[in-house]
Amino acid sequence: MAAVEQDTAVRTGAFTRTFIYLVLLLFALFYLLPFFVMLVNSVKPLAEITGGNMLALPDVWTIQPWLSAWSTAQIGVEPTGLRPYFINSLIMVVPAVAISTVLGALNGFVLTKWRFRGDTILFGLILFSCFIPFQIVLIPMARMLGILGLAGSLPGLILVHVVYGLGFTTLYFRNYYASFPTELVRAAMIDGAGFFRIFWRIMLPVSGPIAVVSVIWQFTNIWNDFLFGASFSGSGSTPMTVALNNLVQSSTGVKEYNVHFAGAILAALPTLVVYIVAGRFFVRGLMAGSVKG
Amino acid sequence: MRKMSIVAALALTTSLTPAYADMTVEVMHFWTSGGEAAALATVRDAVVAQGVAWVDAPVAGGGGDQAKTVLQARITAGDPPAAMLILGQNILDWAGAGLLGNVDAVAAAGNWDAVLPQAVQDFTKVDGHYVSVPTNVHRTDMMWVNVAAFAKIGAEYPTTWEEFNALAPRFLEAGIMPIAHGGQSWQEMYMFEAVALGIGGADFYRAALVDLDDATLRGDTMVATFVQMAELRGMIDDNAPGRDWNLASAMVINGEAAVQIMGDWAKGEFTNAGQVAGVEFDCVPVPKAAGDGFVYLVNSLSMFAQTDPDRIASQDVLATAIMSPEVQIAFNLAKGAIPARTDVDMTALDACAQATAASFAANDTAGTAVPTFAGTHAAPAAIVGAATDAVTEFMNSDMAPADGATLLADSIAAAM
Repeated sequence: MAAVEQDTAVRTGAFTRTFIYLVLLLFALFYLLPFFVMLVNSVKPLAEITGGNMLALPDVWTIQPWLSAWSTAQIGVEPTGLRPYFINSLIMVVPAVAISTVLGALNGFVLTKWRFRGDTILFGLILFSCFIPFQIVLIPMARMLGILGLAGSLPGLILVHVVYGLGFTTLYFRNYYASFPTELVRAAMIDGAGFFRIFWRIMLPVSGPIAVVSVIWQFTNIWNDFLFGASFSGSGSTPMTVALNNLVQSSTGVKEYNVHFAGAILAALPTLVVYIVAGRFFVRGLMAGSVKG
Repeated sequence: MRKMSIVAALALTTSLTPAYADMTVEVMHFWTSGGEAAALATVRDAVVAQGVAWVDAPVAGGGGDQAKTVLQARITAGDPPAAMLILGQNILDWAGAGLLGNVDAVAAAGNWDAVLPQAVQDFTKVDGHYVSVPTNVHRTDMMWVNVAAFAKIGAEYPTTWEEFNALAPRFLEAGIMPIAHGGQSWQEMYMFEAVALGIGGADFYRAALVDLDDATLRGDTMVATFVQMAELRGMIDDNAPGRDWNLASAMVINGEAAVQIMGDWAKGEFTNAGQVAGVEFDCVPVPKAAGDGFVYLVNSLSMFAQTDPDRIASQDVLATAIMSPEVQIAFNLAKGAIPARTDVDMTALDACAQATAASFAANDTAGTAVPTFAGTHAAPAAIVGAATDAVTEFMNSDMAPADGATLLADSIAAAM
């Protein structure tokens, strides 16, 4: 059998192939349509948009909306553009993703290889946190942050996202490590390796795919989160989503749709990049965890 | 040497700001678009000139609905902002919950009781205390007119609804939509309250939408209001559902439509498009079949109770700044509204705003200025929400006017 067909479960003829590709292409174009509208309108002068032609290519091409969205658009009283908030989001998302992923890996390791009485019940309880709606924890979380003195700060936001993400990352790593041969861990123990050495030398090196899943999931959720960002951030720690909302929403003001489109694309870019760079590991990692759990 | 210059610099800054060094005032608001933000910046500048640092906490969306969630989190965390932009009945709610402080000392010194019209006091003074400081007043029953469209059919601006209805077929004949309409529920509610005042007059408006009197809500005048709404239903294009008000304004700007019914904040769209009041566009009150009238919406920053004396002092600085005549004018030049105090020199404002200010003063004296229902001044948000659903259902169906009035009355009764 030819190497190309290795992954194909069903053999198909040239005609069927063409048909499948055509349909896929059509769907791809259909799903890209909103992005096309965003892109095309972000390089148009406002008058062309309010003139009524949303789908047409610009008569006059302009990069001004992008410059405005990035550095001069009105987010609050100061015309700062989205830049400072983009940076806030980066400062928030990197540690939050890293900490929640590492803690999730440790939890998964303990729950599968250092089992103790009641560990499944504990795991079940941790899983609960995946199903608690954001809104319910809002007020208790605000109280906690107030007591900790972290209200309205980036560390506070990072803490919130780590706590909220732990359930998911623990689930991922726990299911992934469940299929990892425990004999290898025992052998390492006999060789005198301790908890952290085993984790570092044996578990982590094989955790690539599931780490990618955890990072993509956490990054997307934390970057896109609005409610926590709006509720727990202060004036110096407002994340991108809240700023985008401030840019786009106005009650009684002029709406610069072209700037809004540019801003929305800017806000979506980082998640897009993460998906493109790490996306091919995503499904692989999910599958790896799902076969045995 | 370097140390010296730092010391010198420090001395300089402290000498510039002797009274309020290290003080900050945090203001939560939803004014994030160009004109709104520029308006608030005039307040900010006046506060900063006093040496108080401005901490900006903008949360846009839903006329403050998103900000409300954020505010609850902030209060729970024990860290309420110094001031927040809150609308209408919500101010009374927060005051009732004991969360608002007051700026009575500043108000007494500035003689606010004399310079603020009763209509504004109704939404800033609770139980004898000034809990909120008004920045501006909006007129919501405003009609934006394309001058060329009226010239094309050779018509005067309508002053009654009968005249308006008579013009509609002539506009359609000339290939112009009579009304540029944004089919979003809140827009339809503003349109409804303007029509209600125009058809029934101020006393009817108060009985129906402020006192929520059931008999009035089911009465003949309310049915007549819905008859007019049904007329308007027929003057709207098919693409209206979901349309932003800004895009409806664009239709009037482009000459696709003759008029738009929208609050005075729409002016920014027209001036932003390079149009001049009285030349390309005009602002006139929504037609009134029953005498005069004025639907107002007050914007104000409400003061949250503080324990720290520095923060209380900073609230006083903020309140003084907002109420200074210079800021009231500069603010409203940017925002497109009219000053909350009636004793300032309005000549700096444009023709539209001057006419609105004069009309407001006259209507306030005559008792025909009524609070906006759609903007949750006349009734709490829950009741406004229920009524809005009813009006939108009417506008998006072919319901009979009498059924519309019944639906509205039932919805309001259910929400009370």
